[in-house]
Amino acid sequence: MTELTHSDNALNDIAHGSVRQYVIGLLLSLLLTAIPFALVMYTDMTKSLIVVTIFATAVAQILVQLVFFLHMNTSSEQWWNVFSAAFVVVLVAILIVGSIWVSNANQPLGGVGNADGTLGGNFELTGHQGPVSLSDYQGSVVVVYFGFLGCNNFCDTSMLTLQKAINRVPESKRQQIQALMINIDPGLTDVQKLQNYTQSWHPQISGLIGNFAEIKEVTNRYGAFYERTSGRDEPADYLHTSRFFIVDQDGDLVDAMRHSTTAAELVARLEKLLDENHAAG
Amino acid sequence: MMQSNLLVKPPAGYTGYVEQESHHDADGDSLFGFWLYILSDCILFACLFATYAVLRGNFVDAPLAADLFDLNYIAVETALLLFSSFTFGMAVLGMQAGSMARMFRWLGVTFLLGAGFLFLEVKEFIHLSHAGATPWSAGSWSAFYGLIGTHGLHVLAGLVWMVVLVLHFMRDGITATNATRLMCLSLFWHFLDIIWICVFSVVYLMEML
Repeated sequence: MTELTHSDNALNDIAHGSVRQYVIGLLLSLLLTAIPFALVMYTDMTKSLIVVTIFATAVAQILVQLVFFLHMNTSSEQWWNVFSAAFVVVLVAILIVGSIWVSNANQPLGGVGNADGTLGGNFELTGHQGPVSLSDYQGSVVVVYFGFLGCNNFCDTSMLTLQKAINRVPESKRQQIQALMINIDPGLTDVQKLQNYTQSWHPQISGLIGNFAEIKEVTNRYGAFYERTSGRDEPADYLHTSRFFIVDQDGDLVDAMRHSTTAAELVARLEKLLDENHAAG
Repeated sequence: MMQSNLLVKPPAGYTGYVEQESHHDADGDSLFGFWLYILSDCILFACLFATYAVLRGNFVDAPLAADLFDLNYIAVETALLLFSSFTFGMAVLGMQAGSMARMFRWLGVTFLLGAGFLFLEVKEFIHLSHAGATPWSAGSWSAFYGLIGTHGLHVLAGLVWMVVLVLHFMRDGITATNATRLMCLSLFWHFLDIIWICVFSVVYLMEML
């Protein structure tokens, strides 16, 4: 047996723990577990402070367990263990931080919608008579359209479809319909110009504007995409989603009808909603 | 780098091991290999944590986690696992003292604590499923069951391993090979405890804020 030599690998040191070490490890672990649990369960500290505490105690407890239960240390014998662990820590960090970063990145197909994964919801923007929110139209079926003033193709076609559709709804129900064109160009600050444009199509279409952040939020909520394609000094031109977002009487988004929807299809959808509500009422 | 002496191994039934404590590291390479396995398992869990982090808000029509989680319950589960890490350490010390009886006693306690933890976890899964939170009800619940379920399966594997190891010890006594096996399982068990720290911090506590 005398030929036995120490291997460089030092997990063998694990064998040299003592009762005292394990007891200290256990007590520290219990303490570091109790702190975050107690904070979450029994206090109303600010959320960010609790989050920081949760992560701090978790990291501390992992270190406690590595040292007192796994007997890791920085001795040269443990170099390979520590080195391989450090390598994995880097990998894990890239994995987790990278995943969260990518999923939050603002891409047309990612990070869209509300926090619970749904689309739609209330918004507050500016109309020609001041602040307007979607909830102002509770009880009406609302068609939301995202476009911009100076858009010569898609927006005009969509406005024409809207105009035809609204006019085809029987007069008795027509007043329960409201169409909103939300301007996606933050450069437009004169809401009256937009209002004049929408009114030229139909009196029941209103124009809404917002600042950069507001537009970003509402398009995100509804899963609508837009991107400026013209330079800073050129007239505004955008690539954008051209859909009719149908919001029911309760303010819930129920449909996002494609650009090529015909007036007849749109009327059918609107009437169905109006009748359903009527039947329920 | 790693000079091993795997050829030098005490014969079966050799119990003079403890007196030779400084020489027991012949199987250091096995432990290092197992350590690398543990690290690769860390990456598996990191993937599951990342999935959970990305999907945690997606509930669609399923019940919200914050409405279903019971922190008192989770605290009990956590305590069971924490104490089991401690009792496993005691079992290791028992082996090093050359006392099979002491080791078996502590392993028994560890096994009961681990089994208790698993029992509570399964009970929680059943409770959640009855409340409408099933693995297929929403993205966040899929990620939840994937993460916690994988940890639970590891605990189950640890329990089975514990039984097998006890049989080994009963047959061969405290040999160098068995000692290495116990140290590997010890690593595994402490590792599961560390993963659970991340679970209760990231999943349960954060969700209840």
